[in-house]
Amino acid sequence: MLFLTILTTKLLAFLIKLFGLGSGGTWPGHVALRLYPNVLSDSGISPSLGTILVSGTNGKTTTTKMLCHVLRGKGLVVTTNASGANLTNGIASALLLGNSLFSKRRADYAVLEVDEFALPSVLTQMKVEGVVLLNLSRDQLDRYGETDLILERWEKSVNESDINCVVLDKSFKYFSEMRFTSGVQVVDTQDIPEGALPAELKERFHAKNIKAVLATLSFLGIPFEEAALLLADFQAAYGRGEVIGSGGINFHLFLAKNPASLAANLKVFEEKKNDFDAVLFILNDNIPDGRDVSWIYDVEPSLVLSACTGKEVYVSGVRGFDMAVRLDYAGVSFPQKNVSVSVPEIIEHIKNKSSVKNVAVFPNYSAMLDFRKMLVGRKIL
Amino acid sequence: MNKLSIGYLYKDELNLYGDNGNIEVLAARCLRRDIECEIVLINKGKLSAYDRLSGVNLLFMGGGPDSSQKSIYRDFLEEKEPFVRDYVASGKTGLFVCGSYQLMGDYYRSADGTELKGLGIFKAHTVHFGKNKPRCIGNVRARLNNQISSDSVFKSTDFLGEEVLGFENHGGRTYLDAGVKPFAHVTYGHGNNSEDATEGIVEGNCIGTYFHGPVLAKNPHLADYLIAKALDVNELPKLNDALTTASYTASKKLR
Repeated sequence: MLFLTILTTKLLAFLIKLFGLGSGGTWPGHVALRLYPNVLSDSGISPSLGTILVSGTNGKTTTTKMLCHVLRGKGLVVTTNASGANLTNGIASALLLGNSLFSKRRADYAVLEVDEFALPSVLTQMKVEGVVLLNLSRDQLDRYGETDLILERWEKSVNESDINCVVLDKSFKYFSEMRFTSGVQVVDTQDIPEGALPAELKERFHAKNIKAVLATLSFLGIPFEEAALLLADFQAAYGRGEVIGSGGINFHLFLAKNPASLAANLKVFEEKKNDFDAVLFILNDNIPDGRDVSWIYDVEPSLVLSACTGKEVYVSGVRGFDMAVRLDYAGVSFPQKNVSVSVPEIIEHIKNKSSVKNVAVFPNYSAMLDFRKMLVGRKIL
Repeated sequence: MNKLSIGYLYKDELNLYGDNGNIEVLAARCLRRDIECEIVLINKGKLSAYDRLSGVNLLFMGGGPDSSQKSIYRDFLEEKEPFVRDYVASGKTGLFVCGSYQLMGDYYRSADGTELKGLGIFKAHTVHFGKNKPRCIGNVRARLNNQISSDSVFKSTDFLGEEVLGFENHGGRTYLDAGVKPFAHVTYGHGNNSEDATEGIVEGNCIGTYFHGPVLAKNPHLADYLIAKALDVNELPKLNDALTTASYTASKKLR
């Protein structure tokens, strides 16, 4: 059964790629799960050294990417999933496509980012060595119900699995209150000494994510110093610190998908504010973003005002006007012609402004994907 | 002109979906008119600790996750009840959003049948049907009830019309007692219970609503109405509302 499922998955992935049919990250896994519902529990697809899952509201993609980077740097074969394909179907796709049909050679590790809501279901289906719980905030509450409920489900599914290790940050009260069975080793990322973090990396990424990476690798037997060395040439994931050049203008992407990530990125921006002439906010309310945009008021207004002061300010996206009103109440001033729901229109508008060369873009999730597609000409997923 | 004194109940616990935005909007719209505005934070604990409560003319209470609502429940019922009851009865202005709207009612019945007593100031009760009925989530629009829309204060301050826009996200469904006025009548979305097209409640000059988060950012005309009622004036100086008007117009099309 597994052979047939892998064959089908690979064939599908090949056809999707050949004809440019879109999401090669999720469809093969979707079909595989139909064909063989228990595929995730089949030991034939599990990597030889173990599977690590990364979940939480913010930082999943970057943390997963860092873990893979170090493990691969050590010469190990690592299977991982594409950013965004982090539901059961995306995970099935990654594991099946990472498997070879005819050789016995298996991946050493699988490092997979998992959607907060999908985590309990994934944990009950497959054998997992360790799970990294980064944080949990109010992102997409309208899709998920409330955070308390998710924490309860996480705790229960970890305790019912035969997982060996949980990495989390106990400075978050909600994590410090979680109780795990005695078989689970709990690693508190607060115990990672500041000095272990590579200074150059700390400038570009959130310290909490780096600490989670070091804690996990240490559990896997890789000392801090070695991990830090291997992380030296780490590059950001799409939309996180990426720079896209277009029409003589550099657009720097700062993914801002919820209050925590907007606030964190506004602070990062503040540090290098002088490099920029303009800021552009793009706010959508598509399903992956969460339909409710109320969260834009959960970010300290002084932070928003300070970032915008002295810069040209542009606003766009399906809910661009909501963001524009938010900026206005925070005390930010900008001409109303700098606001349009149409992203191409705003890009044109920016390109016509000769004084603007470097733009800091704060898009939420689907806005980031759309924006990249418009400027680069292809979708990443 | 009088000063606007906003009493903000349980800011630390009940601020789930950008509820702070409402305070920001009220303060900004006062500031732009040179109307003095103060915020009195009313937290957990004895009311006697507050000396500025008597000056409060706009009382606000937001929504929160279950755990936060549980954490303020005793305090709200035991410490704040007399103040809130007198406040509403005296005809002063207030806004109670989502979870606090429910707590102001008679009771909240959970899916397992247990009843949580409310303050009983709003003549309404809330029932959670568990898995039998889905959560009421999404964009919502409603037409203000005629007590508000025909109020001379609303007529003189309004610049957008009788429709109010918002986002709702509630598992409990609220039913008003017979003869009680809703805040508005649903034109799109669920409202109180997804059955009778009512949305929220009006008791004196206090409003309970499921329009959560920054409802006043989406409805600046409602913000002005509340400010004028709180200050007991018939008119307010006009502001440049080109941007908020464009935003309101764009939001009217949302599905």
